[in-house]
Amino acid sequence: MNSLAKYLEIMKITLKSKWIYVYDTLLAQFFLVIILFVYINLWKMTYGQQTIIDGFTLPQMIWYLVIAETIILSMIPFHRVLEKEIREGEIAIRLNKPYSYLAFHYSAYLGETMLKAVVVFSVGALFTWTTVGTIPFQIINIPVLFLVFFLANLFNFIYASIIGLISFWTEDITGMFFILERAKWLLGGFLLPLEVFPEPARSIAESLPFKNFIYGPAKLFTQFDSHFAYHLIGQQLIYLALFGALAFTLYSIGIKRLEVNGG
Amino acid sequence: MVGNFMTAKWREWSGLYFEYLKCNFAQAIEYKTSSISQIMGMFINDFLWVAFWLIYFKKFPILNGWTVNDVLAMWSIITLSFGIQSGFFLNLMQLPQIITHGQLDYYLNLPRPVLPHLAMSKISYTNLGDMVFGLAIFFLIDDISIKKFIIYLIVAVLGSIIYASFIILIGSLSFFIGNSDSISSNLLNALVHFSTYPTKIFTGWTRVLLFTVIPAGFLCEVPVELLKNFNWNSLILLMSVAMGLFCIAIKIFNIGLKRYESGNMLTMKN
Repeated sequence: MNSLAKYLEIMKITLKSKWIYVYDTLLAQFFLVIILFVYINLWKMTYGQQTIIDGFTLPQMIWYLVIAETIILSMIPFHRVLEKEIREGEIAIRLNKPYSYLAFHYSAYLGETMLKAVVVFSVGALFTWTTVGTIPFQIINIPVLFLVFFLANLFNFIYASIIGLISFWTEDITGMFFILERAKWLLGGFLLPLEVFPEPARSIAESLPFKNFIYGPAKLFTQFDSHFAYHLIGQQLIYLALFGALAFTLYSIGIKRLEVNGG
Repeated sequence: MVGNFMTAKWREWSGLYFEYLKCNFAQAIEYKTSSISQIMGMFINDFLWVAFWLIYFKKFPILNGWTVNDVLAMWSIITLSFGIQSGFFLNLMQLPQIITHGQLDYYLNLPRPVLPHLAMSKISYTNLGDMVFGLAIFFLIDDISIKKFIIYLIVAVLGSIIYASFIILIGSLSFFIGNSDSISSNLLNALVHFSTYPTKIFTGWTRVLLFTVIPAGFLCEVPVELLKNFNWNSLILLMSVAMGLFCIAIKIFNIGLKRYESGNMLTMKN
């Protein structure tokens, strides 16, 4: 079996196993509906008589939040998987298998998060469509949007890997996770588009990589612009290369420190 | 005579609770780094939401009569309320699993009333992060005073009773419909989420729901208004709601307990 085929197989197996619980995943989106319901009320009150705020109409603002929620809520707590495997020595069982440790996990991650993303987006889109209506959208843009979302998903995996790999050095990564993950949420434009940020928060957020993986895809979905898309994909690839290299370095150094006892 | 009985009971329960506090503290100390890390995590998580509101109010200074000061007061109250409930009575949140997996057997076999014993047997020191955050945020509110601090503590404790009562009610669903884990967690998430936004943004039936079925209005709007403009009527209303809900929750739990079937499962309790 060639190397790509085995990872595709891992992804397919994960997708199949998670598909069994698709109704549970669907029911869990009750919370998403509540989040969106609250946002819609908040923004309706905020807009009042205004039709546009910082370049966003009310429907665009809500659809922006649907995409941001899809990116974040489709994630799985992968840092916890790494933390557990490193702390409990389970990593040793995986290291002697004919696959790359991180690539194996990415294949499984992609299978699970793809399914979750489809469910989250479907529920969010249906609710938003019925409550605030649609926004101008062209089907021809779907491949670019899919690519941007795919790269954002990959970044989330690498970012969670970096946090999880810190387990090679520390006993518990909960605090670290909250600091790094919540910084990504806040400064990445998860709760608000960056246009709404006051200075200097906006400049700080603009200078960090996170905006390319939450704000960028969400803004592109609501206000598609091909120049912005090319720029965004370029930025995403640069940061993926940088963060990927950091994750690989941490893994290479960490794995040498690994000591597993047991029988 | 009654006074002596009450004192003896109080001593007995507080003694038992103190023992649980010691055991749980010993556990937290055993994993010191992990505990500190989790307390920090709670603190940072809460900070994210306050940061969101700070950004929001910088752009839109007034939201249907509420200012950033009101939202800070709201976060200060709800994090302390939730911190008290989940910090000191964490086990209540696991009620659906405890009932479904037949783990009530452990409490039924002991000479103590089931619900209070169950509630106090798990203490989460990590939820101290919520409490510390709530207290820290209180001191950022404008015009604080000793009087306001006392009101703040009272409304936070009443809020924790409302949270606990709601958790008992939705947890008790497992007595009637089997495993209610999913529905209970959805309802609790709904209450927590609604209580972290000013209920003044809602109108019509949603507002009615938030003061009845999902009592988020009594966790944020009423306490904040009390802190701004104290009046006895609102405080008595809040106390009545908290106590009324608490009595209903206990009644429903006791009705459900009669339907409980033992799990016959051997487990170790830590």
